[in-house]
Amino acid sequence: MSTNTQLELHPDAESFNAFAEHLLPEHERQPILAHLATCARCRQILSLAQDAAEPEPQAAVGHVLLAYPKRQTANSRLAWGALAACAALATISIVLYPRHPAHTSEQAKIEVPRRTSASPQAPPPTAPQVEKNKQTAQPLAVRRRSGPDAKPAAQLPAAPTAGLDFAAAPTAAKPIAQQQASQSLPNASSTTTLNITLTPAQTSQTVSVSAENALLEAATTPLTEDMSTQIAVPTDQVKLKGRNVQSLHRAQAAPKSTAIAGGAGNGLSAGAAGGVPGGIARTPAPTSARSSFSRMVPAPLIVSPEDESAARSTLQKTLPSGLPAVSAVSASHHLLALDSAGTLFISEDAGAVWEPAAQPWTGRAVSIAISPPTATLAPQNPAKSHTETPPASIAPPRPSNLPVLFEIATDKDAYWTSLDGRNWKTK
Amino acid sequence: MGIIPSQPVAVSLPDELPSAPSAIPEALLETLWQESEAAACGLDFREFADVLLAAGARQNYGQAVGSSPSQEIQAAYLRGLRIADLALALACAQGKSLAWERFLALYRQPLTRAAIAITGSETRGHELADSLYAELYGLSLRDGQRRSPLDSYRGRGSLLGWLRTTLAQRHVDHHRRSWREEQLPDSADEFPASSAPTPEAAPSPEELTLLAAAIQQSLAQRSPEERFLLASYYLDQRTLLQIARILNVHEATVSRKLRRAVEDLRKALLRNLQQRGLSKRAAQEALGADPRDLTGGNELAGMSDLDLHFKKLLQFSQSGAFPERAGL
Repeated sequence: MSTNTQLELHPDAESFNAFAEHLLPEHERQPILAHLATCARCRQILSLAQDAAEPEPQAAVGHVLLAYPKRQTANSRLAWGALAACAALATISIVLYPRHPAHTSEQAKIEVPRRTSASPQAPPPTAPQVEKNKQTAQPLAVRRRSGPDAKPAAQLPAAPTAGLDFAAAPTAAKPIAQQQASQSLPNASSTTTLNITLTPAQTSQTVSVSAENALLEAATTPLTEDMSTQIAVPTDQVKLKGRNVQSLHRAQAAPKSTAIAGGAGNGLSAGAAGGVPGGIARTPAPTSARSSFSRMVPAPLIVSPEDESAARSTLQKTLPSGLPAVSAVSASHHLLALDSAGTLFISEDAGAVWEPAAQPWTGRAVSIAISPPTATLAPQNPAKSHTETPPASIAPPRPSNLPVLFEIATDKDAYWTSLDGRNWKTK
Repeated sequence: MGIIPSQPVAVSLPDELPSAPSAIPEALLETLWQESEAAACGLDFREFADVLLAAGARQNYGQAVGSSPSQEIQAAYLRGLRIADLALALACAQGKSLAWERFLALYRQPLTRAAIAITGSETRGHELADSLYAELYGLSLRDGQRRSPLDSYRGRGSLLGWLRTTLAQRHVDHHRRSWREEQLPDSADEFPASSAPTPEAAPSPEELTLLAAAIQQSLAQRSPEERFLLASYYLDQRTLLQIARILNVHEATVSRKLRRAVEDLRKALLRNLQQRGLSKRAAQEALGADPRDLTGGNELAGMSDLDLHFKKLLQFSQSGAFPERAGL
């Protein structure tokens, strides 16, 4: 309490504010409450200050952290169910596919002419899996070159011979020509990086592929023939300091649902679920959760480096609400950020000027992500995919100026989407 | 960027510290230093440590006055502070230009919006925000030194919340100072008709005195929270939602507590009035409720009437039970 000019004892602004934000210990709260009961002035001040507060209710660190297990619980139920279905499908496929003796002991080669010749000759039984796996895991830029006109470009190191390795991050820094050269050479099975070894004794496959943009680095644990899935491990998380710790927690938790959804066989989930709860929305990269039976192709959402860096720098700043940004995305010249209280801000000049966005949802927004409006699905028929892969059927890379879908998750497990960050629709 | 104070402001430490400030562990200090981004506000490490010590000592590290907090409690208290806001506020109070640039970038717009919301007028809102800026810059002098209200910020709540509260204080105080000076309406026609009290079965002065004393005594027996609920709801006309936000409880909880408080207060009043010599029926009539409604099965209507009368009763008795008159 402090005295004011009228020689009345009133709580000072510090105590008032702490009371209003519910931060006072009980031994300080009770005297202020007792004072408020008898002081119309202070009640008025408290009421005015609260009314003036923008939708920035209880500060949110704890709530943010508490909201996530709930969300993950709901997601994980779906994900586990889908994962079980996927595993069952994988088991059935393994049992039903007869093993071709000629292919089990030699390296599967990338034979583009065979794939593109549309020959009526049936492919070897195990080949569709391999080809499909390559198809789903290859970068789009590489897949474009994997047509009949693809030419050998360079000699590359010998292929790995054990384990299913998604060597994502290291290849991200490679020049694109080298990445292209490292993939899908018609007659260079011994020199391509994309080699699949199907050896019964080893019962393992080795595929080395490049991540599409290396924002997520897949785990390098071998994926054996039982088609077990694993969770992608994020290694490119934004390093936050100070009060942004909660977003780091969130970012760590995010890829679980991404990987689970991705591996669960939900065709749209590669893009849609890819970045939902993350700190920075990331372009879905190939995760190790994709088995050779996966029917998915990662939706080719490409975020420009400028967008990525704008979102990163936003996460290290404080938003106009005075609270730190806990989630930020940037795409199509729209930079959106959530502060720790769930208030959404939007900037159209890379964070120079922020303005609060309309928030039609109830509850508090806890994360924001971007996803493509549509996802590209891989061919459903393995045999067809093996025999027909004309270049025209390969999805071209998404131009950066195509619209993306912003997606907001609230602590009520509701999802809202918007194309421009201003007009939101419930999902 | 406007006025930049050139004269440093002495950070005012409390005259008598509740407990002697002990040194903050170096590791903790380093962590808080990194977290606060105090360097970006122009503070050096030593100044930052002094700020922390002053903030902790001023609040006795969140402990009751007289107790001596342990090192762990002190560390926990310091970790719970809005350390970045605290560093920014104190750096501004010390006149660091870097801090002011940061402050303006972060708080100029929110502060103006809050002022407009508080005053209900864009013009007056801008005036209020500008006057607070001038005050925060430390344009006022005391003992030859600039004084900035930011000195008093101790980092327990958010700086933005503190600024909003300070704005509301300035606005209310200004209004309370000036409302008596407002020009009266020119003619009696301009007085609102509703301001004239409706004479309805005016009680005698003795009854009023008796009732006021009973209400004052009964209210004094209620808990601070119940009194706050009654005052906010019946005197200030706050909604349940507004009260719930202040108390950080659900709206339904406020409703339940309010209903219970009214019930308990009514019983206490009846008891009190009977002790003062009134019969039960007379006491019920004095409270404004028709005894037939309360005893004849129509309790809902009775409670509704009682609800209406409660406001009058509390307003009537606020000079005694709620000593401060509503100034607005």
